[in-house]
Amino acid sequence: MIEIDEITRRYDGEDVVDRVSLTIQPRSICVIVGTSGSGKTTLMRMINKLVEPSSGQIRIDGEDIAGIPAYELRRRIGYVIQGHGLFPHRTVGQNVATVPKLLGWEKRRTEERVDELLQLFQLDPAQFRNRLPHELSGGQQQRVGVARALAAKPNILLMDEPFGALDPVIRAKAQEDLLAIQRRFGTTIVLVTHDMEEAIHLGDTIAVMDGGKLLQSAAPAEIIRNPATPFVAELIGTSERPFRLLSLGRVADHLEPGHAEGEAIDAAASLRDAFAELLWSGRSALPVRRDGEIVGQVTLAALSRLAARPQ
Amino acid sequence: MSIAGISPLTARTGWFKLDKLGVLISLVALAGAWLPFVLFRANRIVPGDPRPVTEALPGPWAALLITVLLVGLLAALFRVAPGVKLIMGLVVLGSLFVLLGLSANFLTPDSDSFARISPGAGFWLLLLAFALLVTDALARLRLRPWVRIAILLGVVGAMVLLLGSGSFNQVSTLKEYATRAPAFWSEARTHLALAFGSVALASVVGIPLGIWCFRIKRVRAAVLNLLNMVQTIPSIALFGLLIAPLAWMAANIPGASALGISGIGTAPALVALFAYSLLPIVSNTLVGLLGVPPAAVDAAMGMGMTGRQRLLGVELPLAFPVILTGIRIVLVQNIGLATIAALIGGGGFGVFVFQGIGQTAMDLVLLGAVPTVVLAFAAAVVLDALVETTSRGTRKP
Repeated sequence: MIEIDEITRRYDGEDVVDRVSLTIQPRSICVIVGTSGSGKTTLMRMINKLVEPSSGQIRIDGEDIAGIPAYELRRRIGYVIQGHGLFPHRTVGQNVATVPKLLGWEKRRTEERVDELLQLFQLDPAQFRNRLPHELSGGQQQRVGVARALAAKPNILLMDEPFGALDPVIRAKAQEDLLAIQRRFGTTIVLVTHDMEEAIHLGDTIAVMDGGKLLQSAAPAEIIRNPATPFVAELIGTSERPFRLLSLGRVADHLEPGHAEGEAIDAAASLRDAFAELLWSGRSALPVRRDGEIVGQVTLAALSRLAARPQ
Repeated sequence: MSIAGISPLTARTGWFKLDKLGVLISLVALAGAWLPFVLFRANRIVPGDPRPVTEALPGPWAALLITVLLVGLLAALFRVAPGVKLIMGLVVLGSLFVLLGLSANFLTPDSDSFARISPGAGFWLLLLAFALLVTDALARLRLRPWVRIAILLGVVGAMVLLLGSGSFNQVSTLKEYATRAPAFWSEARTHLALAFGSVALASVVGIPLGIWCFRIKRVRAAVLNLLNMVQTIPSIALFGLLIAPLAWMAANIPGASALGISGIGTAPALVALFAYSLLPIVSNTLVGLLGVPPAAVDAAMGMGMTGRQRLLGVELPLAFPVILTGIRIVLVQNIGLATIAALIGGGGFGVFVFQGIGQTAMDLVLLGAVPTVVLAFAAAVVLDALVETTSRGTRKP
């Protein structure tokens, strides 16, 4: 658990982060959203002491990080930045092995861990281990960046706009990979982004920042339904609200009995995809398929109710 | 007509297109072929008697040289593959040197140890023209570093063979060498010690100084301005200015003279060369460190590297090619500059240059100048190759 307690960072008399308190639950993804200059990156960088707070306290599992040497703390926390930040003169394998090497792991153990991670990120170790970063595509570089951050099995992963430099198709894939990895290892992830779509997709909690202040911190559905300030509502986008709400649900959770005509939709699809398909095909209901069998239907009427503003 | 049908045609006409640099090379080469190939002198200081190619060589050899020159000229003039240009350039250069030796043997009267045969204006112009052709071809070929070093080794090997075979012994500069062989090698050692020693010292001092400037912004301007000022002092003046303080040190600091410190000689030369080397090394270290990608530095900090680990593991390796470029600049500069050390008794190849000027014996000047140029050139090729191999991955693809 990460407890941020009344933390403030001041530069030249200006509070870049202003008395922010935020608790991040273990094994969850907390996405900090804000425009540039909102203080979101500064807030994140105080968690691994890349920025020293002017006042306030941060505790990790109850321990005040002020008492831990910075380099020691950072070796326990994974760190991913925009544009990957790989060391251009070191091979992919050497990059991934950075923190294990700093921690003095045995050579064998480090090598095994590097290969394990490369495999996990669908990069064949034999093929990629000895390549230099500039020989990789943007998506591959980004995956190596995440693999490097996870090398020493940290409990916490900090990510600063990790997918910012990727094109939309590769970004969607990288987001799915991240969710899969988080579920597999139970890592606590703090991710900074300016993209509300990404925040809603990835976050268990969304923390909205503006002008150094934390405006709201809540689950995505709560943020969409009850934005705390007009700024939060604006960030979500008023015209996007119903669709964002639908994107949080799965077809499987809103099955109705009955039989509908035409092409079926998968039960794992999001309600938003189902809604789009209904509008596009001009039908009022879609059959739902799970493991190749039709298990029910999802109706336009039900989705319209789900997308409406809660009364 | 299909596109495939056109392309061989354009490729063929391309053969006859003129090469812009080739035109210049050809003009210089033509002038060279017309001017005297060698100078004949009855002794080492009288003015020379010019001999064109046709008189400098026995008939068949003169014909051979003219043929080789013509083929080389065509290779330079037209747009042929750079590889062909390179080979033709090397063939012409090789022929020039071999035939110069031959010409010296041919023209020197039997048992006349006073007559001197030295390369004439024509030889030098031909050398310039085809050296230009070779360097241009090398630049266009973009060879891998180790191939360039291999070519350098090949050329040096050929020079050693040529000089060792004795076929060059009648050429004037080698006659000067013959009477000074022991002095030549001892001055060569001094020259190398001055050039490499000063660069080594400057690296040991300059790289940490550059790191210091990088870390502490406030000292940056002061250090760089001071070094800039040193750089503006004319070299001869700096050699002279150092005589007094070093003489004082030798006289007043115990053990100083035992270390070889004195007002004139090698010590002030070494100190002056060292002073000149500092600015390029310090500023290249600083520029190299400033050029390290900020993301890599941020990642290094974020992953828990200490300041020292970051410097040694990330910043210096990434800055190294730039630092090495600085070392290359000063090494080539100091190999040339070390010639002036002879003025204050510092030794080196400059000894022959200044003796030669004093005696108006150009052959002796060449004995000092040619090895200096060859050394500087070889150092440049080797260090350029090193810079290229060390910058793996650091340049944008």
